[in-house]
Amino acid sequence: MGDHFDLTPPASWWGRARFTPVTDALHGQLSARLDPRTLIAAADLPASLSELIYAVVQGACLSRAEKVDLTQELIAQFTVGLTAGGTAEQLASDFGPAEQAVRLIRDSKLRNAPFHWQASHLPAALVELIDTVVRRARLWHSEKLDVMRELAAHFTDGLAAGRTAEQLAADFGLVDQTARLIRRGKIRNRPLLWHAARFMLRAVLITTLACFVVYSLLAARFYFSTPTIERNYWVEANNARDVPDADAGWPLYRQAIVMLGSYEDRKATPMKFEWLGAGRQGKHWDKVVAFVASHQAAVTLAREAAQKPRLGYLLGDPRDRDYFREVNADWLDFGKAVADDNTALVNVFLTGVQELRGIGQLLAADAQVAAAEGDGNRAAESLHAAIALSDQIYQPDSFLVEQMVSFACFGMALEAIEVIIADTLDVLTDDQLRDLAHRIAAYRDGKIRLDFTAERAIIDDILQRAYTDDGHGDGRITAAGLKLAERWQNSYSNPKPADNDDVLRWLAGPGMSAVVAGRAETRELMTRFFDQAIAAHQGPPWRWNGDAIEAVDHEFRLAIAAPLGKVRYLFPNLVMPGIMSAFSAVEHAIQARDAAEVVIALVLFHRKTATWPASLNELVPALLPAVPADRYDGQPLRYRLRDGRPVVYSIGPDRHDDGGQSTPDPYNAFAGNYDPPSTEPDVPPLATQRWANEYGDAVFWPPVPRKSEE
Amino acid sequence: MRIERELMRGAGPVAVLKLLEGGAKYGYELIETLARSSDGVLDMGQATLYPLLYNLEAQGLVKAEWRESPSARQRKYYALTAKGKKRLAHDVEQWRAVARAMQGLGVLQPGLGGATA
Repeated sequence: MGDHFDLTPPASWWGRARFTPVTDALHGQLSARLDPRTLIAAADLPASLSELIYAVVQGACLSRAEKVDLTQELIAQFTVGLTAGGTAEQLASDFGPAEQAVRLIRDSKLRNAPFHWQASHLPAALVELIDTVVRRARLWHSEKLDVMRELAAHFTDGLAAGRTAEQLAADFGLVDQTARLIRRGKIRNRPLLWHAARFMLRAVLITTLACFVVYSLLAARFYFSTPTIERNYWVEANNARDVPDADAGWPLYRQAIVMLGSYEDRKATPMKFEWLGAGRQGKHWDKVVAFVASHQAAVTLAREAAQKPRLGYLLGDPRDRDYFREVNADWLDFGKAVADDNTALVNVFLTGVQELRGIGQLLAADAQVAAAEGDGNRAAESLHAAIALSDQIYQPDSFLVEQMVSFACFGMALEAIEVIIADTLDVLTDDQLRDLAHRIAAYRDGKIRLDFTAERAIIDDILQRAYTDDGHGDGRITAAGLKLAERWQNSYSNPKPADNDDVLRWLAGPGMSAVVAGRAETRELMTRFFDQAIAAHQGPPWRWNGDAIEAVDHEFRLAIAAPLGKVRYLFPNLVMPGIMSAFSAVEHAIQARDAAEVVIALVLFHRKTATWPASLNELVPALLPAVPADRYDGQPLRYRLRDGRPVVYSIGPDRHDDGGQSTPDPYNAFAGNYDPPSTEPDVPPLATQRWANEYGDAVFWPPVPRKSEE
Repeated sequence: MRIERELMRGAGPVAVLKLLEGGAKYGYELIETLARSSDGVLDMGQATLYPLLYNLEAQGLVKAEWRESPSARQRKYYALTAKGKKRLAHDVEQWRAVARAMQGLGVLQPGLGGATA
C-alpha cells in the first residue's frame, strides 16, 4: 500500500460527533476519540508509521471499537520501538507489508476470533491455539483481547526460555476445558451489575419456563377434558308438561297470538294494560274498545283454550316453530334449539309463554269492555278465562319466568274485576260475583307459592355441561363450560364482545380454569343459596327475618365481590341474583287475591244491606272465611270508609298506615319489596326504608289509575 | 508425582498466593517457580494457572496490571492485595494445623513443612 491517506482528524461538528463516545458527549466534549486519525495525530509518530497504522486499521474491516484497540496497540508497539532506539524505517520494515497484516486480521475475523498484534508474531500453531481458546471462551471483546494478550505473552516468554512451540502447545492442556475455566474465571470478574442482570434474566427465564410448563399442563388438562352430558332436561321437563292435544290449550292460544299480529301491526291498534286501570273514564278508553273489537276472534279462541285442563306448552317444540313459520309469524323468536337437540336448558326460549301475557291482557280488556256495554255474561266469561289462563301457565315444574307470567295474568284478571265493580257496580250478578270469588280462591288450589324445580334443573344441567365428572360429585370446569358461560353473559352484555377476542379467550381459558370453582363447590354454593333464600322466606312475610334475608344476599355478594370472585363463581354470578325478588312477587299475588275477595264480599254485602260495613269483620263468615291479613305487618287488611265509600288498602312497603292515601305514582306501593328491613347497622337500608315517605299505601279499591294512564 | 485434583484444588491457590507474597509475578514466571519450588509436585499448566489467577482476581485477593518488562515486552503482572495477604495468612495457619494433625497421625514426619510453631 503506497497510498497516502488524509490523516487529518475531523474538524466539522458532525465529523467529530460521529466519533465521540456517548459518555463524552453527555459531558459536553466532542472528543472524537473513536476516530483512529485522532489517536494517530495525538501519538505524534513519524508520518510513515502513522500511515502504516492507518492503512492496516482501515483495510482490515474492523468494527469501530476494534479499530480503536488496534490503533492503540500499534501506536504502543511503535512508540516502544522508537524509544528503544529503532528508526521509523526499521520498525516499518520489521512490521512487514500492511497488506500482510490486513490479511492476518481478516483471517482472524473469518474465524470469528479477535485479532491481537502481539499474537500475530507467534508460530502459527500457537496463534491457532490462542485463537481457539479465546473463541471458545465466548467472552466480551475486551476480555478476549486481554486473554489473547496474556497467552501471547506467556508463549513469548516460553519461546524466549528456549522451549519449542510444540512443547508449549503440549503443556497447555485441554483446549475446551481451558476455555471453559478461563470463561468462568473472567465472568467472575465482571461487574456486580452484570451479575445482577444475569441473575434477574435467569430468574425471569426460569419463571417464564415454569409458568409455561404449568400453563401447558393446565391447557392440556383444560382442553382435553370434556363434560359428560347424561340427561336431557328438556325432554324430562316436557314429559311432565305433555298432555294429549285434545286437553292442551296451547295450540289454540298460539292461533290467538298470531291474530294479535306482529309488533308492527299492533301499533295500528295499540293496547297498554295501564289503560285498563282507569276504566271507562280513562282517556285511552276508546283505544281499548277498538282493540277489543278488532280481536274478537282471538278472544273466542282464548276462551276456548282456557277451558282446556292444561296448557300443554312444550319446550323447544318444533311444531311451534313450524306453525309460526307457516303463518309467517316471523316476529316471534323461538330460538334455534329444539328439545331433542339436548342443548343447555338455560337456552330455552319461553317466547310462547311471554306472549300469553298479551292474551291475558286481551281477556281482561274484553271483560271490561263487555261490562261497559252491560254484557255481564261475556264479562264474567272473559274473567273466568283470564283466571284459568293464569292457572294453565303454571305448569308442572314451571320456570320462574312462567310463574311470574302466571302471577301477572292473575293480577290483570283481579284488577279487571275491581275496575268492573267500580265502573259498573251492578253489571255482574251476585252469582257471577260468587263464582268469581270461588274461582279466585281456587287459583293454584289456594296455595300460591314458588316452585324452584326448573331452576334447580337448570343448575344441574349447567353443571353437567360445564364440568367434568369424577364420579364423586366433583369435577373441573371445561372449555365447553367457559364457552357456555360466555355465551350466556354475552346475551346480557352490551356492546357485544368483538370476535377477534377469540385468541385472547383461548389463551385465558386454562388460566381461568385454575380459578373457577369446581363442580362440587359451585353446586354447593348455588343450592345453598336457594335453600337459604327459601328458608329465610318461610311463613308469612310479616314473620320474615330481615337480617336472615340480608345475610343470604350478603353472603352471596361477598363471595362474588371477593378477589376473582366473579370468575371463581362464574355460574352463580350469572344465575342467582334474580330469584330474591320472586318471593315478593308471590306475596303480591296473594295480597291481590285477598283484596279482590274482600272487594267482592263488600259489594255483595252492600247489595244485601245497602250499606257498607263498618269493618271487614262484618263480612265474616257469610261472605269471607276470615279477614285476610295485610301481608306487610300481619294485621287485618286495612279498610275504612271515606266519604261514605269503602277503601281497601295495604300499608305498603314503608309499613306506615297513611289512611289509604296513595302517592302520585301508586305503582310504587304495589311494587314494593316484602322483605323486612335488616337491623344490622352496617347494612345499607333497604329501598323500603330509603323511600319510607314516598310509597304511601297500596290501595286496592277503589282502583287507582297508574301514573302512565294520565 | 501427580497430585489428586481435589488436593490440588486446595493447594494451588495457597501456593500461588505464597509466591506472590514475594512480589508481583507474571503467568509464565509463576508456572516456572511453582514447578521449581515444589519439585514438580505443584506443576500446573496454563490451563489451570490462568483460570486460577482470574478466580483469585475475582475474589479480590490479587490484582492484575499490564506492565512493560525490562525486555520492552508487555506482561500482565499479578500482585497480592491486602485482602489476599490476610487470606494467605489464614490459609497458612490452616495448612499448618492440618500438617500438625497429620504428624500426630504419623502421616507426616515431625518437623516437615513448618508444622511446628
